[in-house]
Amino acid sequence: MHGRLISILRSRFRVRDLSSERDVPCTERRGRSAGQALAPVALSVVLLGVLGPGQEGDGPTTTAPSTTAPAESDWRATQHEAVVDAREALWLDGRPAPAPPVRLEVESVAFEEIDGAQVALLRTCIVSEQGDTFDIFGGIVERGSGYTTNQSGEVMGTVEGRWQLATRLVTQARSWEGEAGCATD
Amino acid sequence: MRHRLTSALGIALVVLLVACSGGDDDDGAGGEPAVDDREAIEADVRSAHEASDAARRDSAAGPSANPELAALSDTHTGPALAEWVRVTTRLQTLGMALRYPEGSQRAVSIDAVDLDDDAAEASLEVCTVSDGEIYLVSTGQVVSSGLRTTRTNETMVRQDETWRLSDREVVAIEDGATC
Repeated sequence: MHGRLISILRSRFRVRDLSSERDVPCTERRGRSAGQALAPVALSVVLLGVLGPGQEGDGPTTTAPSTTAPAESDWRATQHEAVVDAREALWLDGRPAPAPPVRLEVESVAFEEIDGAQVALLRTCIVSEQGDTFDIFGGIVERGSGYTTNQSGEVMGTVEGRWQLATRLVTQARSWEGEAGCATD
Repeated sequence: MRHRLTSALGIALVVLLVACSGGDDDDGAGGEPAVDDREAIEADVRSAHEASDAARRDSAAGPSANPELAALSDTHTGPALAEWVRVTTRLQTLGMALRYPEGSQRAVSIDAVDLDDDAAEASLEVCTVSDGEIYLVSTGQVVSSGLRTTRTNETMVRQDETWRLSDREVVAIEDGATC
């Protein structure tokens, strides 16, 4: 039963960095939502450059294979899964698992260590269902349909030993209509 | 004749003594330095490590990380210099910097210094307790904080009579102060 549940979650989220059978306690998975997390900062242009598609070769980046944990043996390897789990938890924010194709994929994680302080630079690909649009009087004027795909650069850091989302792009690096772009690469 | 033989033996003895005393120099070409010299060299290494540590902190400090800080290239070389320039450049690009709280608990302990035979390279085991914070300069928002311990294996090399950090490998990062 437990294995089946894990399997369903895996297929729905397609978080490629997760190792096979790690069970993260709910207390760890529950975190602040992106909106509740530390205020977004206008790093969009900067992060586009820093976390752009050509960024992997610049620094200690880990891009996990499809089913297994990264092969690194240093401290970054021990943090990789924790970062991905924390990011997934923030995305879920306690809600039920969304139906496919809605999902979060952590495409790459690059770590920096500055005097022991850890910073993770993520590139994520998120497929979202288009939300409702409200007019200025608060009434629903359009109910969206279909999906959008967004590729973003994000920064996470450890605060008291826990990974938290520090900044997220206000403007996504790339955006596509439907399940497209990074979601289909 | 006897007098000339004695003189020749005396000269030979002097030459022999001079040749043997050359082994105590730390010029890297005549064998291992003496114990006293090694202690002095180790003290130099520790002092140079302290300077390299300060340069890294200064180059990452706000209001803007500075990968071109002169003290960085004065105290670092090779991969360690390239890596820290990369890190501080990234911090600068992201608008982030390093700072310490009032009454910081930061402490560095060098657990071991291993000099190579000709005292041109030193391997260090370093344990650092730090409570430095990475923050966004524009807003002050804390990105990464907390008391932690970093264990590193570091290499220092002697270049132009100056010890410089040439390599720094993080072995472990632990929560809290565990040195």
